[in-house]
Amino acid sequence: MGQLVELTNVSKVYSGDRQNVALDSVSFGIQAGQVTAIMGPSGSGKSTLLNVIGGLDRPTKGTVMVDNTDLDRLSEAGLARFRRTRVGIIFQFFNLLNNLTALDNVLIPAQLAGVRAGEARRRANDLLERLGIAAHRDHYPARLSGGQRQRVAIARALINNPTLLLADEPTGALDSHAGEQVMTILAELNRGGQTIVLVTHDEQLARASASRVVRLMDGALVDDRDETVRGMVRVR
Amino acid sequence: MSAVLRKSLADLRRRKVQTVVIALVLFLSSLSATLALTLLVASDAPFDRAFDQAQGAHLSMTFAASAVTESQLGARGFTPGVIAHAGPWKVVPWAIQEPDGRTFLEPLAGRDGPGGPVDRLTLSAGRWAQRTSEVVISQRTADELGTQVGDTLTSASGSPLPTMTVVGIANGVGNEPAAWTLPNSVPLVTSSKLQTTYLMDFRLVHAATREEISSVADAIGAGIPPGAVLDSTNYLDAKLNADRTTSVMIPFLLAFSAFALLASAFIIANLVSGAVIAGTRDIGIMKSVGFTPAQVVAVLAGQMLIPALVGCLAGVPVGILSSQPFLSDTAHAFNLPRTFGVAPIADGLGVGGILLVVLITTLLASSRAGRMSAASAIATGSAPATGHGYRVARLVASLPLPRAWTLGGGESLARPARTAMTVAAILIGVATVTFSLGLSQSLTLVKDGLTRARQVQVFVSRSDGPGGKGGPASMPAGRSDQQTAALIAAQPATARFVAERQVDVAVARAGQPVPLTAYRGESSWLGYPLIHGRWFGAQGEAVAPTAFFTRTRQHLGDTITANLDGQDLHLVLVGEIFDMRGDNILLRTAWGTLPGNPEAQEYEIQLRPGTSANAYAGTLQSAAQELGVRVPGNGGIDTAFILINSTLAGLALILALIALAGVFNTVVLNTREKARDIAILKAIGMPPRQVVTMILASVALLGIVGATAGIPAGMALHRNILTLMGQIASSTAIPESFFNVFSLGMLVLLAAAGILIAMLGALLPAQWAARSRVTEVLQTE
Repeated sequence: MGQLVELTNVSKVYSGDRQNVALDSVSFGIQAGQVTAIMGPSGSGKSTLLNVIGGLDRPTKGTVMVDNTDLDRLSEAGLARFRRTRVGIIFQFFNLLNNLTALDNVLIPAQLAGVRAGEARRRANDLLERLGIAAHRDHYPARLSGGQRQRVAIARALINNPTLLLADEPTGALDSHAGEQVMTILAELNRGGQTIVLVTHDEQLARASASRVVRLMDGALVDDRDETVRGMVRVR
Repeated sequence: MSAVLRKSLADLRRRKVQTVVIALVLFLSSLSATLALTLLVASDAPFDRAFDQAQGAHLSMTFAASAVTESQLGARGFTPGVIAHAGPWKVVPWAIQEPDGRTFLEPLAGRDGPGGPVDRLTLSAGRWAQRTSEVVISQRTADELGTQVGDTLTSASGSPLPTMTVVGIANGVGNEPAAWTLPNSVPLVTSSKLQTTYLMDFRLVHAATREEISSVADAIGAGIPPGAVLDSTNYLDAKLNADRTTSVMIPFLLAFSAFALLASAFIIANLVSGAVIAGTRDIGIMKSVGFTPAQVVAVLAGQMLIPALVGCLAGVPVGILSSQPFLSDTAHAFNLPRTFGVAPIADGLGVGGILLVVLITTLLASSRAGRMSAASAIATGSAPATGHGYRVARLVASLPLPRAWTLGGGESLARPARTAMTVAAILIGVATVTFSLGLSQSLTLVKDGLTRARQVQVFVSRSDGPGGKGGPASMPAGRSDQQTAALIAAQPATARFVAERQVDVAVARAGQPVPLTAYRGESSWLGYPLIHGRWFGAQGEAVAPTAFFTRTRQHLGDTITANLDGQDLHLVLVGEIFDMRGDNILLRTAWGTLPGNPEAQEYEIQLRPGTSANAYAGTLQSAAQELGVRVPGNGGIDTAFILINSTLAGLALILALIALAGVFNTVVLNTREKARDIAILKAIGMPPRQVVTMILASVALLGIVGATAGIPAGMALHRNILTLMGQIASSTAIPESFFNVFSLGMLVLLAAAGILIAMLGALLPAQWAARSRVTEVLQTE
């Protein structure tokens, strides 16, 4: 199976009063169909790495290839198109639009992508059904529990059938029961062939759900372990 | 430095956009207020001020040099009722030959200097004549002939005067001669048709009414040989003319000043309250670290008042400077001396009022947050807006439009109070533009109605001879009515003309002799706009201005009795006209209404298209020097209307900019509040262009609503102000056609202006939002 994501010498430096190195020459690849967990302590660069892979941020140096697309070559509009068609992003704090219902939140990426209204609605209803929140489709986020909100966010991330699903601490704001439900959903998606990159600081969760764990420390990749063989893959 | 001041300054540095917007809006507001108020104060009675400065003549009298001597006239300066006099000055008709062969006949006076006890002249260029071949000309003459200091004016062949060099341009406030030279340069001619006359100016003890002035004129005339007095004029006509134009200006400026101040106050209130509400979280934090409610209010007041003060300090001098060209034009229009006009008290009150609005709004807006507990303020300021506009958002989302549009449209009504403020800002902008455009168009029609320049290009007057009532003084008699009419008719460039004669009649309740002008021939084309009824069509019918109807308490269709030298004329009032001659107590009728076989005194001529009025007048004057041929100036009307239109355009532009800033501010606040939502949308794939579209869509609907309300508001304002201007200026009603200036195309443009104001105001913040970094926004959540 080929590499869906390929990072080569990716660095990200934030310039402010003093330079802050968020990523330091990180290189690794992710195969299609894999669940990769990115771990590390707070400030190690996990979210920055996810943002760079998802085209939410540009690296200061290095190349990021996702699904044979060099993200550095894309304009801002091109990156936006990339995000809405190739990747789905799940955030720790859900990031739903509070003035839209669950259904409308899920529909947004499809509508932005120009999917026909009927088709978009069919897909959204299917996803809400699959994720067990169809009964709440007309509810606003404020009336949903944390787990329900995250399931709406997952449905929104999946509506355009992305090749890559990025999840940034998807259970971080949930109680343990809701967290388990969300991880079950992600596991099911992966069984269906969905490639997932998961940022978490929860060791147990990473080991339980990811086939591979990548560890960062001060922006550098320090450990890359294939959990299916319990061995180190490579560290460059 | 105190904590309050330190925090205020820190906030100013941190909220640069807000600081700049407040300073900009206050700059524009204080500029427009200062401009309008300076013009308002300076426009108040400019004639009276200039008249006092120049010791203007209450009475000017012209005497026949053939009938009276200088020494006899000098003694008349001490007639009871006269407090000062100047002259007698010799005046001779000066035939000026233009290079193209045309001849102008202008009165030239001999005067030894511009000063004196009465009618002091102001030299606006050059110096006074020092040699016999030097001449000083009036500003009007300079404008008409296109002459400057240093030019030479050639006397026509046969003229007793030499070729003259123009050495100065001077202005006076009365009925001045066209030019002045040294007294010994003016010949005493008593034998030919072009006779020398004497001009004397008098200031009187009592000169408030025509009657008072007439009685002194009679007393002056009583002491000299009969027939010596050719003409006498008083300052009241010139004053009436100047006061009429300024009285048109003043209600307009008052209305616009009030409107500008109210609009500015409203937008400032919107701006300040929005900024304070947006800073609610900060207020909570301040309180949590120990700021007292009063200190919190002081910090906010500092944030608002410092940029407001800076804006005002810049706006006031710019406003004063901006008003100077308008004041200079006003002075030029009335041939008045130009001065640097400042109205410190009015300007101070205006700016003080604006700053008071800032302070009051800040106090009101911050008092709510000041009363909140620290925790509540932080929570209120941190929480995303909820509960507003959900239904609207869903409704808009169901529209078959791109999602960026429907998202933006749904957002537009999410915050009712801010939405109302934005709509109000757009409404003010559109109403201002509507009002200004409408008034500008209407004033063009008013100007056309006043000057009738499209209908009548040349006036010809003939005299019944020295001492007679018809025609100008100093013009010799010689050509009969029939001969004059035949001469005019024979000119190839004459398209049509009408002969007329004016007599004074007595009408009940008029309170004064009423000028009745009778027209020979078809006269409905003369260009007096009809307010009601129709133009007269037969003998015994008459039209009159509104003031006549009001004064005499007559109505359309009434029959009045006009007494002419003891003979009753019965006139049916068939039309109310827009007419601003004299004090508007006058009548116009058909020729046949006059008894006997009257002779025409004046002729109004319409030229064929493409004919030069000056060339025509030159030809006619050359053919008959004894006629008074006049291409009408417009008594400053053109300049006055250009002035009003320029002021209108300037103030409208400023108000539109203030409205723009109001929209800009609202959108900045909205996008700041919606930064998280925008970042989410960008994260899930909304490209920058759609972000811009969405934000523009959020104000487009408001633009449409604002325009829909603003256009009728502007039209209503236009109608009311124009009506008020007519009533105050000359007690005239306004023809309906003057109001109907809004074409469908213009209304569409005005609606587009509303959307444009909204879009332009939102464009910059929309672009900022489109360029914002998703990760930074979401990570700060």
